[in-house]
Amino acid sequence: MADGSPKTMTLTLHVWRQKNARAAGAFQTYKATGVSPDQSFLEMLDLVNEDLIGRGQEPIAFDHDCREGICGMCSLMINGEPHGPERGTTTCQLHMRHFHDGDEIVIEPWRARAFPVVRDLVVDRGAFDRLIQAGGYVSVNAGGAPDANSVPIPKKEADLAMDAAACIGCGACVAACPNASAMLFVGAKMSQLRHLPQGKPEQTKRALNMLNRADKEGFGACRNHFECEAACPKEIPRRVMAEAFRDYVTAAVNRDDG
Amino acid sequence: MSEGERVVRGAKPPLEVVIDFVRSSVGAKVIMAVTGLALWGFVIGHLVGNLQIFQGPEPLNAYGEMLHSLGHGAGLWVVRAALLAIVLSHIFFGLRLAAMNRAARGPVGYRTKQSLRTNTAAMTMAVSGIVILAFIVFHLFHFTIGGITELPPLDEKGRTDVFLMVFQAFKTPWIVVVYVVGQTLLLSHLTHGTVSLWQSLGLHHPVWTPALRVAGRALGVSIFAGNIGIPLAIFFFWK
Repeated sequence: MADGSPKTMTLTLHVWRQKNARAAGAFQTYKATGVSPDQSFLEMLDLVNEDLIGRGQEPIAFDHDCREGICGMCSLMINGEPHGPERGTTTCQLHMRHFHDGDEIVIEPWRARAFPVVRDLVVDRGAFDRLIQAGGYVSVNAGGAPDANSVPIPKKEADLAMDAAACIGCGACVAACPNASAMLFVGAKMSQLRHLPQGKPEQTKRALNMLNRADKEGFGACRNHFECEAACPKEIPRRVMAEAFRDYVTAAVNRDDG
Repeated sequence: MSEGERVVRGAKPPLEVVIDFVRSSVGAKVIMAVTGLALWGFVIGHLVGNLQIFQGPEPLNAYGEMLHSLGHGAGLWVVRAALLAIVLSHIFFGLRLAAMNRAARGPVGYRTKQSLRTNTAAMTMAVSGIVILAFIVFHLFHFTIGGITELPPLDEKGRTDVFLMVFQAFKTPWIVVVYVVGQTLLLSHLTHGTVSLWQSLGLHHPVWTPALRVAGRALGVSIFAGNIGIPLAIFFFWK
């Protein structure tokens, strides 16, 4: 390493290992040596896995894809915080400079009945896909890309929709919620549509269908702890959940069940 | 209702809509919020009535008599029945949500889990709620049904001597302790309730939500101060 570069770190990892969905899992302890502060958390795990493979052992399975903080695949509970200690950051964008030499790190999968563990740190987030199928869409033929500004939308409404649309569907909200509720995710997916003209006609029906689906999937009920808001790597605000409750009640009162 | 209207407004009959709503988790939340709000109203009214003890025996006993004679004696029972229904719904749906949420975490829990934004009051709603229920039962046996301390004879005007009853009770140390503990748990319960109920009703606003939070917390502390003020004042200062 060049002069002035920070020294490497040695960390103790307690990682959840589970062979498959049916097997019982347990924590295994690993030493991560030669960790650079410039590495991302996933690169640190890559390093550990290379070592495991070199010694003929099974590498730790974890979800990842873009490693740019936009795909929503990475999903680790790091020392009791979804995506680790940095606010507004996905695991892949979390760098090891936020840890110290000699630290012990507990790495667990998301824990929710609706997100069964597939293997080690990988969980099945198919329940989110089924929530989208239940109502996270607009029933119009969108056709080709329309001309910009052909449908005028006030700046404030566009901002509200865009803030909600930042959701990458990683599931940190469910992982953080003391009740494993999916309200922040559902709220975000509803809010990105309800503030735009294309999403208006199905606004309340969408609430009914998505939230009833969330109950069926086994997600818990929101009790307004707002842990989700703190854990969300895209910092989706609690406002989207209030909108979802409002739409749900409106739908029930108006019997928008079609 | 015409056929066309049924198609437009939805196909489900009204009863089914109500049942579906009550069974849903959001419906349960809304019921918690509405009954919680009603119980806030009761707690405030209860305290304001009780504070008349500081005006002496006459106003308090007259107030007690007035409550008993509301609607020729029927009024009090109507209010009691409504309160019972509200409290029972609050308990039923609270426990239902708690059970739903316990199951939702799944078979294995976290080894480490940090709280980032929630607080102890919010995390212990079920516990504080159950203790408050026990306190309410105690309170009813203590002052309404009887059986815990001896109730005093009627006052010189033939009314229940509410003043003397309360005065005598709060000269007993363990009873004062029970009331202070009960009210502390109520303060904890209201601390989260005041934030939670508006959100559950779908009301969120950049200005009004923080304002309501501050107002609700201040009101909760005022209720606590008023409610423990009565036993503490009697125990320590009244002769």
